[in-house]
Amino acid sequence: MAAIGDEEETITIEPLEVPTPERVPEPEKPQRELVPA
Amino acid sequence: MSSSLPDERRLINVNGQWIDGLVGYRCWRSGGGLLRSVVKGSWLQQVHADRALCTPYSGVTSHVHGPVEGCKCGYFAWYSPHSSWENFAARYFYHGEIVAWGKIIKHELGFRAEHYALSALYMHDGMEGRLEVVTQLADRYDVPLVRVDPTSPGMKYFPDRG
Repeated sequence: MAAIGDEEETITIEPLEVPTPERVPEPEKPQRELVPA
Repeated sequence: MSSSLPDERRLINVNGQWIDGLVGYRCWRSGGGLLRSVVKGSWLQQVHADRALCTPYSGVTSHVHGPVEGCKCGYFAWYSPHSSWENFAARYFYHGEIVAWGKIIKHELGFRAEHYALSALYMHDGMEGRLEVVTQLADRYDVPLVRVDPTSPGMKYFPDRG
């Protein structure tokens, strides 16, 4: 590539810090009661 | 130092991370279904370029990654698409829009960046014979193929801003 002119300024662009959504624990499944046959 | 240099930003998602990157304009050659750097011949393997490397072409070998002040390394881009067309004839090259991040050295007319992602490819008069190729390239990188008029002074296209 060519011709972008003289250097003038240096910057740094970092990824944004986006809060990670808190993981909601899945509700416990009720234990199935064993029914005698 | 100057604070009056262009600073057009665009929010992109790169591998799950949001980046408010700097918009720029580049051009490439094509081959093998990929875009290829005009100067160095490196290929753009995916929509996000690998971290810029300094090569012997740059003239300074004391560092590995670019851009570095006083060197010629990093991914070059212009602030305006018109600069891209003025430097590389639209009839021979593929022009498009990028979003850059990481370390960026701003120059008067453009910048050198550590990272960039392709955000759009352009289609314009004079490319009729290459329509199939540029369409395949846009599909390959999954970016918009945008019909533009390089003769329009205000020509700019931002896919996410209408």
